[in-house]
Amino acid sequence: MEQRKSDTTLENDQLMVERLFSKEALAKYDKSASNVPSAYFEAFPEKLQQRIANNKPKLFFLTPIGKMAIAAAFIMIVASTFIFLNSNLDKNLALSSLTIQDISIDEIEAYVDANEWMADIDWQSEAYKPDAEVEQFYKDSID
Amino acid sequence: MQSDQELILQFQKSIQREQTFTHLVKKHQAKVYHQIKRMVNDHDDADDIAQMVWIKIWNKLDGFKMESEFSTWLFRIAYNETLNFIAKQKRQSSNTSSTDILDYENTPSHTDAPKSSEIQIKLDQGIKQLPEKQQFVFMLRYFEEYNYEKIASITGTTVGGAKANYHQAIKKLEEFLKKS
Repeated sequence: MEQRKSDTTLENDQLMVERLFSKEALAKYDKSASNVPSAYFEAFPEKLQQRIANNKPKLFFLTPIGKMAIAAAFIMIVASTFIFLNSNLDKNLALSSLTIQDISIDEIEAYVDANEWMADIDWQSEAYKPDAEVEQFYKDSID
Repeated sequence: MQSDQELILQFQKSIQREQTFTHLVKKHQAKVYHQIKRMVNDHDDADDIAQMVWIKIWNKLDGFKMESEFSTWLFRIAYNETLNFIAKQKRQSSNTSSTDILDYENTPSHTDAPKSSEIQIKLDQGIKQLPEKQQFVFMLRYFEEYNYEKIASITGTTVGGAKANYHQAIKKLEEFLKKS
């Protein structure tokens, strides 16, 4: 009612409506609209508290902390992938820039010896197979 | 009785949160419910919307800075929830009747019955054909007797906008009466 005193236009605004519909009709409309089942308001706070209690907690990934955690994990994945790919690139670059002059003679000889020995093993292992065609090996070696 | 501000401070300090919140609910539940019910005309819908409103209040009350009155904030949430509900309902069923009539049988009449009910129906239909925002403003002004500053805060408009909404609503009601 305090508000009503200070708001002089309120009565005029209400009168405008009451001229169209009677004051009584408007009061009746309001009363009908605010019809509630008995004891509704007495039970409402308890019903509300139950609904609040039953309300599932927010999913972690939807909370601000969850969103930040997801963003941090994503950044970590991107960063680690970038670092990993970069380190592989460096290795390839190092290999491709290697020339024959950079390898010592001892290393080359050791490699050749090892491969000859490996070739010998391959040849021998094939030769001792029960169904090996020895003639074919001789042919290959002659060619 | 404790003021809204005191109750909110208690809630924010986590002093008997449930009990404090229940005090707030008890203080404001009827006004909020009635405003929603005037808009949706169905008890179950009004009850559901009212619960949603209060759940939002519960979830956001910790962050409420008391820059506006609690009731303004509460009605603003109720306004948004009600309009969302009506929009959702419109989307779901475009065939809903726009001539639902309120439950007048339960309200005592002091005048001659047929004439009164005819006015009631016209009033109800007239209000129903108003855009939701104008309906809300009309209800807040006429029935809740809120000033335009408060109505503007609730509906997120200017004072001039709220006044225009109210006067447009009356104009439309007048036109509706002439047509019918």
